[in-house]
Amino acid sequence: MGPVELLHMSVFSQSFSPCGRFLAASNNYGEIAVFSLSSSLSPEATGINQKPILTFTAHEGPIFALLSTDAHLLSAGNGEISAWSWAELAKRNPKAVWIRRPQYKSSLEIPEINDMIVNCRDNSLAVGGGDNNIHIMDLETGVFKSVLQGHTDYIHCLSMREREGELLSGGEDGAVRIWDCRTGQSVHRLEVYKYEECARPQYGKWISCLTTDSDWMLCGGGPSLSLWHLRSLSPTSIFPLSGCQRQAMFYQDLILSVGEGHFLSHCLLGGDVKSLIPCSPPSLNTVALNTNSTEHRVSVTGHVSQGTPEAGRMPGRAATRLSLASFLQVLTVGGSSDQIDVFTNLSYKAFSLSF
Amino acid sequence: MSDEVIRKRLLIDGDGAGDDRRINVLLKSFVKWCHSAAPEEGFTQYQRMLGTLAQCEFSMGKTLLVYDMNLREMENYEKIYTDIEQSITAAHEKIAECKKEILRAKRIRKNRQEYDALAKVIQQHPDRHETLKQLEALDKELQQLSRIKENVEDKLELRKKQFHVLLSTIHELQQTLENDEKSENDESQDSPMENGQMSIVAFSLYGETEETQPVVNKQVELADNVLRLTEERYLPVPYRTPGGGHPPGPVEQPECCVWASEFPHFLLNRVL
Repeated sequence: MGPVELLHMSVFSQSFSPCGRFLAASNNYGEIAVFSLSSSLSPEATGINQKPILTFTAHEGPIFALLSTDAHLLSAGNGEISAWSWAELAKRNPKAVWIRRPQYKSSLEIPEINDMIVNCRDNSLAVGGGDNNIHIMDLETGVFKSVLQGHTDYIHCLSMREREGELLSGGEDGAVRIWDCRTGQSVHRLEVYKYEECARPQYGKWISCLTTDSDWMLCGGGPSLSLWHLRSLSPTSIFPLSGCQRQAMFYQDLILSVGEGHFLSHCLLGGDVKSLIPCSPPSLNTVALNTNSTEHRVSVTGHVSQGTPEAGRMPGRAATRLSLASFLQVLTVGGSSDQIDVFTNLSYKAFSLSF
Repeated sequence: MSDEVIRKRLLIDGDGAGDDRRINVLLKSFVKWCHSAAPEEGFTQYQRMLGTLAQCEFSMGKTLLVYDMNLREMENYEKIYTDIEQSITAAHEKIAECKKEILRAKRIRKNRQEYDALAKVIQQHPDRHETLKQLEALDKELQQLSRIKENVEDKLELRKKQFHVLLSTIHELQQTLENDEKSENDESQDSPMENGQMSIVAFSLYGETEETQPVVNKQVELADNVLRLTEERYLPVPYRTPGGGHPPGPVEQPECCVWASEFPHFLLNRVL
């Protein structure tokens, strides 16, 4: 990987392993790099720990979506979905468990897959991409059960509304559609650009980032990032962020969002931008939070002393074990550079992993 | 085992000065004193030995005290160590508690902000009490207006009935007059007295109508217009009388009717 390729590399998506110790990141050359978080976060980490433990070419085209299930890493590129076993990847053995392709209507052009999401209720995978449809695949059998049609332009992002079992999709046509997973019908259609407080006609009407926590929804892209109350389908707060947001997430009482611009924005639910944390890539594509890890780091303090044979009264000291909570719960951001920034504390960037 | 002892002894007193030497000197002097003959020298040597022994004992006492002190210091340090350990664990627990507290506080803050956001949206809608009051006022107005409408409708109904009566009477009269005319023309001049009155009246009427025909026509027209106007004024939509009839159409021009000519005036006075 020469310096020119590194310069032109963009990280499009990331995913943490189910155990929380590894991070997989994908780029526009179709490669996936697996980094070991436990070694790069340990106190004895050196430069070599910030390089991936494994890099392999997974697809021919850019990989826009990565997703981790309980045991597999799913990657979507070049119109097909491949599954890799995390256990094998940890052992540096990249071998695809299965490769599947949804049925596309036209065989001439292969539409790209922009986003994937797992529906835990019925163990299915929803895949949305360039052919304006969402394909639902059953994860156990691998059969593509149904197609959700409705968008008039390609789909950028998907999100799952766990409590009601609904799927949200946002696309280039500016519409956020809410689909009922069981019937496969579009329940609602929100055209965000039609609301004048959100709309930014100078950027367009496309929706590129969508996330929900069942009651509230964040969506942004061409229109400004806005918080919607889903039951009344009304926008409640608009965030005054310049640039188009590409990914947003809810975290505790904050909203984290990345997009154009080399910073990660922290916003409050009321519509204020609390802070902008600078990062190394000039424009950010993806942000991920490691919530899988519940491992506790054990560190030894105290000393071990041995009693002298004569004075034998001094007791041997046992090592005192103290635990620091979840040191692997980090936030990582990636964008249009080969560096992936790691945040151990949300307020500042700790170090960077590089491809 | 002996290595340890040797090592320890070398460490403590390797250079041969101090207690070890004193003990060796004591032993040597003891042996010499045992072998010596002269009693005064023996006595001084004995005294010297006692002194040395006292020194040794003193040194030993000192070492014992130091040893005790070390033991006590060790205990003290042990105690401090356990105290510090306890406070560290307490601090850790407190940290964990505080972290939980902060999570709870963040959740509360998030809820508050969600509430605020929703409240902002709700505030944009008008107050419920206001709207209810407006609705009540509108209801009252509506009731009032419907009452007025009812009244007017009743009035119109009445007028219609009156007009109907009038016009049917006119029509009847007209018929009667025609009949009388016809019978008069057919019969001879000496008509029975029953018809006399009628015929005289009819004749007089008929005679008079020659001049008053246009007037009568005009007055009947007027009655017509009044009826139509009343209809238009009080009934914007076509209205059906309860009897199933329809509003009386325009009246055919009666050919004679001075008696009828009185009525339009009478009617006009009553209606207007």
